[in-house]
Amino acid sequence: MKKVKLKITILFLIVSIFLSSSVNAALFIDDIGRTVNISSNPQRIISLAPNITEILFYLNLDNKVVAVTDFCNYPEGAKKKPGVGLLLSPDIEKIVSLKPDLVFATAEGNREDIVSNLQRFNINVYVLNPHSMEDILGEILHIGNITGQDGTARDKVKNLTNRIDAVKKKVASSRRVRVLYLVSHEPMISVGPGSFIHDIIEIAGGKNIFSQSLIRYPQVNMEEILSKDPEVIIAPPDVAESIRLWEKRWGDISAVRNKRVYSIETDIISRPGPRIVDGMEEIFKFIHGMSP
Amino acid sequence: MQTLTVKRWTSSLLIFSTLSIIIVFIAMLFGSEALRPYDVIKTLIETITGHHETEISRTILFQIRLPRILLAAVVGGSLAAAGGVFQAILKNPLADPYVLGISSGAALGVLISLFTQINITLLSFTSTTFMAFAGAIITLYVVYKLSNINGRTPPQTILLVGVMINAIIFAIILFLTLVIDSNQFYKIFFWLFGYISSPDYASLAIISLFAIAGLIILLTQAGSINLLTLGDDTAQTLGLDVERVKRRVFIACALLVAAGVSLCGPIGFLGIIVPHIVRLLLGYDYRIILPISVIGGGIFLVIADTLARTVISPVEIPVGIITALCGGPYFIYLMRRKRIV
Repeated sequence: MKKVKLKITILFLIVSIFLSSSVNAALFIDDIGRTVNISSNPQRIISLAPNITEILFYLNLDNKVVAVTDFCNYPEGAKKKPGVGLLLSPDIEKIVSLKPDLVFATAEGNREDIVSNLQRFNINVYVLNPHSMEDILGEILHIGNITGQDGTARDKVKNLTNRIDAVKKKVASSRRVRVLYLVSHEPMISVGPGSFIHDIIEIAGGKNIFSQSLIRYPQVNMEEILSKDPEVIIAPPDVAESIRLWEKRWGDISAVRNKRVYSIETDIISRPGPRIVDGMEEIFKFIHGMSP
Repeated sequence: MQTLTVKRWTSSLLIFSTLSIIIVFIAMLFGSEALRPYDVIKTLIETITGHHETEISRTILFQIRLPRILLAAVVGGSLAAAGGVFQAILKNPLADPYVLGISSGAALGVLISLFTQINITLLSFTSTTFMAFAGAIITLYVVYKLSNINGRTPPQTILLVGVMINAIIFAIILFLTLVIDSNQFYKIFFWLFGYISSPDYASLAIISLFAIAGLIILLTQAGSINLLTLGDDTAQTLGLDVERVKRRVFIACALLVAAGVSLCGPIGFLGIIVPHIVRLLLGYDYRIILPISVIGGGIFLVIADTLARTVISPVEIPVGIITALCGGPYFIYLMRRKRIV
């Protein structure tokens, strides 16, 4: 059902993009409902979040990106771009001085007043707010559309969709494996519905043991972990390192007993960008012991 | 208020100790769905009679739930004692165990350990624990040294230096969390809520040793603390070596709070409220306030943590939220009824 919905969404997006790309000047509605008037293909783009930077580079827009944030560390080329400061407090003066014709911001990463501030200087700001895997694919198409890279975006999203479908097909008939993801070890924080990591685990054929959490990043305890007995534990490298030391005390947990504690680089599963599909495939590998 | 007699001291202590044992027992009954109150009693009986049929129940009860409850009791007691003593020697009813920068020092230690990514583990203690402990002790030492002017440490000076050091360290923390990458930011954010984990018994024993050492020092100074509440000068004229008492009290509080904060983060509120409640109930003699605060703090944190574990299980509520939500209204009620602070 979800797959059909995804396909329809993408089809709809492609059609709408095809229609809209025929006109040069266009009004776009961004993810928080603002109308953004983008008159021609933007030539000077600033990204205010690492995931946007990744999408822009993914769509071969390297040359049009004039600046990124100090947190933008991927791909290599992004590190060479001028920085406009940190995620929460980018340097407005520097942004204005770079004369961008388009700035991409995120609803959750950037402060609201930054958007309104930039608007005062007549700088176009397009705000993204993805909440799911489908949203991310949609964002890639949107950004492609706005920047005149429709063709590239469509091809790449098709490729990503195929990879996601391949994983979904493989897990459709297999048993769901109990997975624990730990964000932090002291205190123990896991993930719940509403977080990207939860979505990825569930798509990759896992059953997040805290899928009933009402909180996106719930604090959990050992008693619950032990009674829910995860078969696979995934965590950032330093947390995974601490978990491996549980063996003596918590050897009863299947994942620890069977040495199925895996570490993953946080950036690829928490950033709503194209690499999230890599993250999903990696988690698929952890869960099923083979590549999709 | 009645005067303190041996009889009243013993009876208060007996009543509170019995109450604490009952509460620990009740707290053991509640937890995850895997072990309902009925299963707990069954497991307890099986353990006593020597039948070991349900191994997982025993692990949950004795390796997870019980050590956690005991840790809450020890930490709650330590924070309450330290809070009460700080209120007395700083002559400020708003003083809590963290007023002199212990928790921000510990938090800075945690941040540094996240930054440097050194991973040491000894028993339940990780590099985070060690760095937090070091941060707490160093901060308290710095505050004490800076407040010392011509061999004297007036309460106002200690308090102001403490508040300033707190502000400075907190500014450093904010700066570091701003430039640190966002994934680490979450960790320090969650740490600052305060939390209680399930330690192994060896770690629990070490934390308890710190707590007991600190408590013994405080109890031997209880009479002197009573004099100190009259003011440093009055206490001095009454023949008390004010600075020596303060030094001892500082060392004791450092042991009590640093141990707790390094394992549990800065669990707030309890250190302010419990000593006040005890004073409202039992009067102003630290020979009784101290031991009862310890037991009362333990009871308070055990109850708060039991709620934290169970209210929206399987997810936990950070225990600091519970301590403020439950303690605040009760304290206001008590204060209004007694019409004193």
